[in-house]
Order: sequence, then C-alpha cells, then structure tokens
Amino acid sequence: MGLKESRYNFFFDGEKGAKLAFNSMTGALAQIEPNKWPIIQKLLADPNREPKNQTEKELLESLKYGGFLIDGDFDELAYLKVMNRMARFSKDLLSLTIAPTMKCNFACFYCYEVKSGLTMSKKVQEKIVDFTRKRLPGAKGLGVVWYGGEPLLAFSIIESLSEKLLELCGEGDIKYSAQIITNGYLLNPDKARRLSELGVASAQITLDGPPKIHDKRRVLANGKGTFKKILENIKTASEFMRINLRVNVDKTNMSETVKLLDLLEKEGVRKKVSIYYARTTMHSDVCVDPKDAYMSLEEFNREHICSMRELVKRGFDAWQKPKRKTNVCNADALNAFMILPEGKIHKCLIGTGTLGISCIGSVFDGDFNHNYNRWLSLDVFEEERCVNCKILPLCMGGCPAVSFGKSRETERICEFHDEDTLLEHMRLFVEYRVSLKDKTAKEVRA
Amino acid sequence: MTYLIEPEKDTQAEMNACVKGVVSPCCSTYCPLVDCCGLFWC
Repeated sequence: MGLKESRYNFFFDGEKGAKLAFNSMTGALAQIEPNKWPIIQKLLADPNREPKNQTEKELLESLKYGGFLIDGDFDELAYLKVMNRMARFSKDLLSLTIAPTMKCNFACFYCYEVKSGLTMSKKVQEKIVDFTRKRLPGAKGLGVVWYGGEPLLAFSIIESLSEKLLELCGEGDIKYSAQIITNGYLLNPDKARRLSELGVASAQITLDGPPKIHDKRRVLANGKGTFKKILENIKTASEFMRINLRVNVDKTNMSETVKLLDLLEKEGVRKKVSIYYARTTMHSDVCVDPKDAYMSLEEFNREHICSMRELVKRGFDAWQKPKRKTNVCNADALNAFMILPEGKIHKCLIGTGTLGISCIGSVFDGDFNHNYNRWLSLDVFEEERCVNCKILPLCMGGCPAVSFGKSRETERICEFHDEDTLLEHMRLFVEYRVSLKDKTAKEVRA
Repeated sequence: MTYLIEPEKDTQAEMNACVKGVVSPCCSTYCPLVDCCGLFWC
C-alpha cells in the first residue's frame, strides 16, 4: 500500500512568505521555505510517484515523519476511536473531585454554584474511603482534586481524607496525586506546606485583574476586597506547590488584565505562576445575570489571542503546545467522579446544582443509577460534524454536558474550536519560539 | 522543511500511557476546573 495525505493537515501562511504546516493528529508544526512549497504541494497531490531528486526525496521523508503523509491503509479515525475508548473506559486511574464543603467565604457575582452550605460529615468521609477502596484494585494511580465551595474552609477534612487515601494507595503501591482549586484567601504558608505534605502538587487560584477590578468581582461575603491577601499567599504557596493562576474574564475586565501582568511582574510573581484566561458564562440560573458583560465565543477568541501574545511577550509561562486529547474530561470517563459533601456522586461539576442528569448516585448506594450509562454512552464518533472535523484530535467533541443542555448558552461547543483560532495560536508559537531564540542569543552575547 | 514542534509518535505502550489524560479533569472554557487555558491544550 502506498502513501496518502493525512486528513488532519493544516497548511497556512507564516512570515516572510514561508508556509506553516500543522498536523492535529501528531501535533507536528513545521516551517516550509517558500521555494519548497510548490514541491510539497506536488508531493501531497501525488505521494506515490518516484521522487525526482534528492530534495523531493528528503521532503517526502519529512512529510512522512510529521504525519502529513501516512500509510495508505492507516485509518486515522479508527485509531482515534481506539484511543478514545481506551482512555474513557480504562481503570488505570481513579479520578476523584471531592468537595468537602459547599460553604464559601467569597461572593463572586458570576459563581454558578448552588450554595447548599453543607460540610461533609464523618459518615460521608468514611463512605468515600470505602468507595475508593472498592474501585482502586487494578488501578495504577489515584488523582484527587479538592474543590468546593471553598475547600480550605474544611481544611481538617482535607487532611484526614488525604491521610486515609494516601494510606490506601500505599497499601496497593498506587501512585497518588492531588490538586486543589481554591480562591487562595486562606492558603497561608502553614496550610500550603501541609497540603504539599499531603501530596497536593498544584493549586488553581483566581485573580480577576488588578486590585481595583479584582476587589469588585471576587469579594468576601462581607463585600471586602481580597486581592492583597491572595497575592501574598500566592508568593508563599508557590514555594510548596505549582500555582496555576486563572483569570476569569468578560467585557468589563479583559482590557485590564495587562495591569494585572504589570503588577505580577513588579511583585516578582511572573516566574512563580502559570497563567491562563477563562471566559465567564452563564453556567447556571444561579449566576447573577450581567448578560451584557459576557463575551461571545468569537469575542473571547479574538481577545484571548491578543492576551496570550502579551503574556508570551512578557515571558510568562503561558503558551502550551496543542495536545491530542484522548477524552474530554471526567464526565465522559468510566472511573472519574465528583463527590459532594452530602455524598452525592456527580459526573459534571457545573451540573451539580442545575443539571439533574449530572447526579449518578451516592456513596451510600451500592451502584450507580441510569444516568451513569447516559454519560458513558455519549459518543463523539456518532456526530457527523465531529467525525468530519479536522480539529477532532484536539477537541474530542468538547464539553459533554452541552449534549444534555446543561447551559443556558445556546452556542455549540465546537464554535470556539474553530480553525482560524487554532492557526492563530500556532503562529503565536512561532513568534514565541523566535522571541525565545532572540532572548537566548542576547543572554549568550551578554 | 524545519520542524518547530516534533510529531508525537505513538506506540501501543504510549497509547496506554495516554490514558493518564483521564486524571486531568479539564478542559474547556466552560469548565471551572484545573489547568485549563480555555482552548485546545490541557
């Protein structure tokens, strides 16, 4: 069997007449000199003819290397399907997102959660240990995400559950890893150190802009600002764990994020955090409704590129290469669960309050209800639009909850996975690489 | 033709390793969970 062109090729314009080639299956990105482009076009059109010279021979090999040309009998879609099935239905890893409390010390206007105010009882904690013990055999790893509410309001529960889960993993030679999603307000050095001892390797903390903006959006329940304390905590906590700094953006604060970067640089935090922007949307009916403030996906994509460019320019740890996905998230995976303080088990975090189908049972039940099957039977390969999409390897269908009408938003999830945005990100990578090279060259000269 | 990002080449063993992706509960701009830049990368 001869060669054929991959269905996941992108060819687009780079700088100075060069072409860029990207393959979403292999993740390869290559720069093509202007004089080589016509030859490559011919090779792609007829990959099975004998190369006429050394240049053609080398280019042919290079196209094969990057996955731009593949074996004629290689069914890329079938391969993706296998990868997807393996990831979703593997029992290699047990993934638990645990909310020890739904209480929160903040009152962010865009919060989507239903504040039940519940904190986990001892009985539920014991049941979580039982649930974990039952599902761990055969697993190679246990991954835990501490979530809430504000999980640090239930710090003693995190401590005691972590100890028990670590013990379970120790008994079975199972790798344990943990992360925490916290507003950062209570993450003082003692807590950060203790969490690190308990296997928490990273924390996601949110700052929504410079103090003037952040302190209007992410306020304490009594209305007071939180920026100063969070920033201090980030500085000290970063000694113990990786900090992923999330910036929730909408039309009112997107342009102010530059001021946040100024401040982070001034405060010496630039190298201590990884930073990313996320769009606020109407996740549920409990969000206060400043509809005008939310950005459309198109607006966000446009702004996001500009913001990423700024981050890259300033040397923040922000750009990541696109990675092929095997599955989307916990919601579509067999062995991944979210557990609420009362012991309910959910598949979708956002749906905990408003999406009935999200709940698949309770730690007090012996088995899951029928909702579990509905999540697991979702299949991106039954969606014609996804099957024919060149971005499928990077997206795998997007947020599964959208399939169940989770959100008040009517936009289709894949609208933000558009090709233009992807290619703009790849161009940004080329700029990033050039800027890195320049920086290294300057350092060497110095 | 110069590679700026090398291709990921899978073997069966690497395919199995990919299953590790399950541990990361991201990702989309919809999802408030960890390590999500909002677009294609986790």
